[in-house]
Order: sequence, then structure tokens, then C-alpha cells
Amino acid sequence: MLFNSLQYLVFLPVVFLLYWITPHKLRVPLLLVASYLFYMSWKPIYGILIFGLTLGNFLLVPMIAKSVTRKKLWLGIVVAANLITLGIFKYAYFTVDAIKSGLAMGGIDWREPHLHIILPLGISFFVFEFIHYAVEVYRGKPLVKNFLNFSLFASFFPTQIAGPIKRYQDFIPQLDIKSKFKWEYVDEGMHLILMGLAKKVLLADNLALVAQAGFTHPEQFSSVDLWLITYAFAFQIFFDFAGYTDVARGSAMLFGYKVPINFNLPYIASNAADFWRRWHISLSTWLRDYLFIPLGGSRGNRFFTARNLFITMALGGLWHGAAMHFLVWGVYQGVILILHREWQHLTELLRVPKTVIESKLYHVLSVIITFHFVCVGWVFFRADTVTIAMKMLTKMASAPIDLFSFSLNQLEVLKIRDPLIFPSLLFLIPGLMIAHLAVNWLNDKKFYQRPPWAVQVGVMVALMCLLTIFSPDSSPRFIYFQF
Amino acid sequence: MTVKAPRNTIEILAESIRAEDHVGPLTEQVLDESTRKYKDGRRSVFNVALAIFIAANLLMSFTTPFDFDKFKFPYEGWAWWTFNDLRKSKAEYNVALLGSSLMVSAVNNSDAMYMQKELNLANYHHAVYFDKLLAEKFGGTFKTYNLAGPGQMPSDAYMTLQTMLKTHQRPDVVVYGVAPRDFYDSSMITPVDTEAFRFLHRLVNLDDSWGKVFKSPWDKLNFILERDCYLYQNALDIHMLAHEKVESVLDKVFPKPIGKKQFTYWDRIKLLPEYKAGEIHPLAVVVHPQDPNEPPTFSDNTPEYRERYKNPDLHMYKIQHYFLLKLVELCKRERIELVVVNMPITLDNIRVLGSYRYMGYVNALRTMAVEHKVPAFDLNDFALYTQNDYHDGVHLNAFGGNKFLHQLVNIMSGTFSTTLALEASGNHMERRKALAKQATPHEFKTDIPL
Repeated sequence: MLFNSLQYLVFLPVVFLLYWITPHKLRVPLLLVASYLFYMSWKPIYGILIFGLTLGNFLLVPMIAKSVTRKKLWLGIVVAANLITLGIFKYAYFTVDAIKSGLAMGGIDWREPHLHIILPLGISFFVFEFIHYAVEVYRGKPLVKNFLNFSLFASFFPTQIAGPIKRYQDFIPQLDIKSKFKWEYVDEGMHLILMGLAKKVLLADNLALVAQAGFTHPEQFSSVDLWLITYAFAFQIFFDFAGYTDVARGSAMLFGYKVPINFNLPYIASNAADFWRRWHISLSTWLRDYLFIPLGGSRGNRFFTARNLFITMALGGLWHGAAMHFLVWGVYQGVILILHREWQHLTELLRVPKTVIESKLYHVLSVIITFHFVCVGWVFFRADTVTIAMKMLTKMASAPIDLFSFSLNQLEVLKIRDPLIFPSLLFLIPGLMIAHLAVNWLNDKKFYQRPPWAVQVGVMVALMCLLTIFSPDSSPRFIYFQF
Repeated sequence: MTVKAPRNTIEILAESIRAEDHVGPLTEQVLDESTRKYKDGRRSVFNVALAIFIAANLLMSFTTPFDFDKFKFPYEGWAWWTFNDLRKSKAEYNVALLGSSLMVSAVNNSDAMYMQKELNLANYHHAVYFDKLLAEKFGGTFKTYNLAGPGQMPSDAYMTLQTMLKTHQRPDVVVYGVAPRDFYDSSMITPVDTEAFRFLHRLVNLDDSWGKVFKSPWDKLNFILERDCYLYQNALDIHMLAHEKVESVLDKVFPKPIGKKQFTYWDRIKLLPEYKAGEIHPLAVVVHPQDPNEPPTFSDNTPEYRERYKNPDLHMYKIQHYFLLKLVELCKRERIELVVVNMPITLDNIRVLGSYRYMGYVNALRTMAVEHKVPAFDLNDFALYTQNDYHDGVHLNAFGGNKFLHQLVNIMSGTFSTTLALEASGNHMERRKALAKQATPHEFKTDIPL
């Protein structure tokens, strides 16, 4: 069931109504049933998978807490069991292909077994939630005693498919609160849902057309076009995922629950580290807490920290998908994070005055450079293969030279009038960048935080009208569903 | 530095939940008097917004502030071209053809050979060879408009004829060529799945049959929303209007580059094959005249039909029969002579379907014809059509098309009601043609309806 489907339009209000008319004791079971229905509407059989993983973790994690001498062993077993499950479903094809290629290089022709594995939706997200739980219990945090609560933590339908990756310490206590219905839940929840859908339907889905054309046929476009297309993808993936997160957070809010935010204006980040503090926050903090820090974090020397960053980001890249281009994207992220650290080290070494580093100009330049570094990464992320990505980047590298003799006439996107999104990029991309900056400026303004009631109503009516008009018959799936 | 965030985001969030300054289940917020109304929902932003949204829709439904041309459609598919050209046409048509690609192939191949010219099927909707045969057999003048389109099913045929009547063209005779695929296609689970439906349902009122058209409850709900919500009903039209406005702004601000090779339909389908899939370009479907001296080519499309006939859906079969009856009713109501024809297909194709199932289909057609007094002819004469008459297992080539049209005209002349209708129609058009010749250019400008 997609958030942008008619099914969800019926499902959500029904569950919402039932939830608030049900006595408190029955609310968790109700949400659990709803969450399993939501998940099984796609492939009923995978309901067994999520239940099996939930039960397995619920039974095994207490062993970590109980054991005195074998805590680490039990943690290893639980983490391994989760990762093996993820590996079987997500990386089986990738592993088999890698083995086949390796053997082929050695002159061995291996007939690989034919696998019939369909990636269960959201597996990467709930497996990471289970690992988080196991590690936290290992670190001495309390166990979840109630199986229903634990099951709902893993299967809660708003966050089930594409996160945000929750923390049990934040989510489980909310289940025990006897909350009363408030209209604020509806207002805040519906505002988030409508905003999220608008990001997805109005922006991401249209920008997707540009990315699809550019990344499958880069040879058709000039170097400047390819930069525009890459910017378009940068905003597509942002609005797609941020839109999903808004709908997820809004849906949870309708039941009075808070789930973590995932984005905080990522494209105004002034360096790679700042970007990862703003992009997919629930994943980046997970990677930090359960991979980077256990690897040693930044407690060692420069090389040691760089190694840990590299491994963390490479594995983070692979988490996004079992394909070489995701791995390369992760490695690239690791490299730019290391470069950023080295740059900081260099500025300290050269004793660059603080006034320069803290100047407005330095900050603006940092934001522009970071955005372009991130965009180069998106080329690896979106291109189907590393070869296509390299082809695109090679062409894009000539843009500074091409810009010397640039005229609008050279833009291929201007020739296309159907879909209209292509020529619209010329005002849409600057518009979106300005909007990013404007929202950053507005964020601490009272008017923006709590607009007048009439403005809130006007915005909501406008969103309802826009979504009614511009919702296509068959909107594409959210990008992060595949992960 | 690097991924070392100042504080764990989750910790910050957890704190915010604990602090809970506005909403959330952890603390019960004390509402002051000014927000009392909020408590019972009267001042809820969502409630008020929803009420305004519903009221605005109702108001627009009653006042219809915009007069949208429902023939406008962003997907220029077969059905769109058929009606776009019909509306532009100044000619009057007294015969119409309905059917799937089997009818398209038979008529157009035959015409291309007869006229010895290439026919661009997006814009060619006539049947000149058929008109000639009709005129020879029944006298008078005939002008046929070919409403047949690839994949057309009885549900589409019914909606197609209704749409033709909306264009103020009223044929006297309609020939509808049917084949088993029109009732049994596994790739079409509901009538909604065809390209024609997506265009035609904007023009035809489906209130009396929507329960049959939509199988899934979601499709039914979508139909109800579309029918009752003004903005949703006209979403595509508003979308097109917005597109036009934005395009005109773009043309002024960022005009198309001059002197460069223009972006064509062919470029678009290469770049974005999924975008507006099913759209056709005026030069995308062309029929060439067949050389009578060259042996005809035959391509085996059995695998395709194996898929199509794989899982015949009884529900769909019944629905398509229902729409065939609706078509019969419509023709009776409009006093149009409907002639139903079972199209020729090869024995190999019947084997794929199963001869038992084929016989069932033919018998159902016969029963319908007898019960509703509709002239129906089985033109699938295995002795008359050989493999040389087919392009593939079901589509007739120019030789087969010629045979089919001759056979059709001959068999129609053997039916009293059809002969009468065709003779009257041919003579009527002949008289109108003669009168039109007498008319002065001034008369054409008159507003008085003819």
C-alpha cells in the first residue's frame, strides 16, 4: 500500500477512527493488526518474515541482558541473525554475481543457482531497528517486556517501509501513555501528510522525468544540461524521501505519536559532515552509533578515524542497495568526509584566521562547494552503472570550459516542451534553492513557526486543491521503498 | 567534526518529547479559554479547510465556472486521433465501422492497395474501397468513418459510438467486427485497461453501467470521487490549462532554441519510453500498398495470443457481452442499423484459444443476434481465407481485406433490414450531395440548421 494511493486514503481514516474510539488497552493490538494488514497488502507471505524476526529478537535479546559472561557472544548471535536475514534477501544476487565474476576472472565458468528472492519492503529499516535494540540492551538499557509493544515498534505502519529508523527508548514509552484525542493531532498530522504528498506528487514525480531521461541517455545532453539534470535529481530524491518522511510523521501524529525527523535542509550544509547531520538523520545517527563508534570512532589517530569513516560510509552505501554504484557512492561519501577532516586540519595547520573561516563569503562558498560535491555523489547513486556515472561525470567536468561560450541556445532541455518540466528547470532549480535558503531564514521566525490560523487554513485548502488536481493516476513509488 | 553530531538527534528528540511543549501523548496539554473552541474541533484547521474544500467543490459543481472541452486530452492515442479528426471533418458520414485491429487491418490494407498509396493511420479514418462496394451494391453515395481501433473491446465500441453521436455525426449503419480476443483477452482485466477507455470515459456518461465497468472497489471509489468532486473530475482539464499557461510563459521567457534540430516525438519516445505510453504520432503507424506480384509475408503471432488467451476471465467475458447488448440497445434507440460480424481468424489461432471455447463464443453471438433481432454474420469462412490472406494469425492483409469487404457487402445485401437501411442511407446522402452542389457559398454561412 503506497502512501500516495487511494487505498491509503481509505485505510488511514479507518484506522484513525477505530484507534480513537477503542479503549486504551486495545489500541496497540489495533495498530498492530493495521500494520500487518498494511504490510501484507503487498505480499502476504512476508508478514511471516517480519513476525519471525520480531519474535526471534524478542526471545534472543533478553539473553544478552541475562548473560553475565557471554553478553558479547549473544549480541554477536542476534546481530548476525539479523544481518544474515538481510543478506539473504538483499544481497544474495549481488553476492552470487560477485562470486561468478571472480571465478570468471580465474577462468572458471560457474553456473550460478537460480534464485527466486523478492526483496521484502522495508527490511533494511526494521532490521536496523532490531540491531539498535540489541546493542542498546547490551549497553545496559532496559528490555521491552511487552511483546505487543515490541511488535508494534518494528511494524508500525507509518515508518514500516522507509523509516525513519526509530529508537525504542523514544517510541515504546509513547505506547504506554493514556492519551486523549486532540484536534491538534489532526491539524499537525494532516498538515505534514499534505505537505509530504505535495513534495512527492508536485515536485519529486515531475523531476523524476528529467532524471530518468538524463541518466539513461546522458549522450543526448550537453555538459551544462547534465548539471541541471543532476540538480534536478538532487531535489527529486530530497522531495521524494522528505515527502515520504512527512507523510510517515504525519500519519504517526494522527495517533498522537512522534517519530524522529529525517531531514533538516540538507542542501544548505556547509561541509560533508554537516550534510550528513542534515540528510537521512535517522540513518546517519544509526551508522554513527552502531558502526562508526563501535569501530573506534574518532578516538584514534587521523588514519584510524579516516579508516572508520571510510568503512562506515562504504557500508552505508551498500545498505542502500546491492549494486556496485551504491557501494561507490558510499565510498565517495567516505572520501569526501575524510577530505573535509583533512581540510580542517590543513586550515588549522596553516593558521587561517578565524575571521576568514567564519566570514559570510567563506560560508556561502562552502555551501555551494558542498552542494556540488553532494551532486557528484548523486550521479553515482542514480546512474544504473558506474560506467554510466563515469561517462556523465566526464562530460560534466567540461562544463566550466563550456560555460565560457555558453548561451541558452545550447541547452537541450529548452528544446523539450513535453514534458514541460525540462524547460521549467531553469526557474525551478533556482527557485528550490532559494526556497531552501528562505525556509532556513524563516525557521526561527515566529510567523513561520505558528502562522495565523487563517493562513494555516488557506495553506491547507490550497494543498487539498493542488493534490486533487495534480495527483496522477499512477504515481511512481517512493525511491526509498527499494532500500 | 565529520559525522560527530553535536548531540544525538534522537536524544534531542527524546528531550523534546519529554519537554512536550505543544502536542503529544506524554503530557496532557492544558488548553486555555481562547483555544476552547479548538477542543471540540470547531477551530481545527483541518476541519475548516476540509469544509471549505467541500463547499468550493459543491459550488463549482453547481456553477460550472469553466467550460472545458472534454475532447481535449493530453494523451494523443488512437481514440483521440479518431475523434480529433472527426470533429475537424466537414464531411457527413452515413456508415461507421467499429472493431479492433482486425477491422483496422482489413479495411486499411485494402484501401492502401486500392488507392495505391501509403496511408498514415493516425489521420486516415476512411474506408473508400468499402464505400465503393456499398455504392455499387446498394446505389447512392456512401461515406464511411472508421472508428475501429487496436484493442477495441465491446465496452470501448459502445463508448466510441456514443462519442460519435456527441460530435453530431449520426451514421445510419454501423458495422461491428468482433473476434474472440475482444471478450477473452487475459491482458485486459477490466474495461478500464484500454487506451480508448481513458479518453472516452471523459465524454460518455457511465452512470448506468459503472458497476460493470469497474471491477476493483478502488476503481469504483475512484469513479465516485471523480463523478462527485468537481476538481477531481476536471483535474486533467485544469492540468492542461496550467500546462498551456506555463508553456506560453516559457515560450516568452525561454524560447525554444532557434536553428537547432527540434525535439521530436521520436526523440521523446527514445528518452522517455514510459511517458505517455500508448500515444501515437501521425507518422508512427503507416500502411503501405501491398504489391500483388509479391508473395505476402506472414509472421507467426501465436506466442502473443497464447498469452492473451491464457487465463480467460469469465467475469470480463460477461461484462463485454453486457456492453455488446448496450451497443445493440443504443443503436435501436438511435435507429441505427447495427450489423455484427464475426471476423475471420486462422484455424491456428482458434487452436490456441481452444475450439470448444471458440464455438461457445460463436454460439453466444448467434443467440444474442436472434434474441435481439440483430443482423449478425459469421464471416470466418475457413475455405475462403487461406494463410496468404493474413499478415499473422488474426490480421487480414490487403488480399484478405478485399475478400472480407466483398463478402461483407454481399452478405448484407441478403438481409432485408440492412439492405433497406443501406439503400435509404445511400440515396439520402446522394440527394444531400446534389443539394450541396446547388448551394451558394453564402448559404453555408447561415446559422439555420440544415
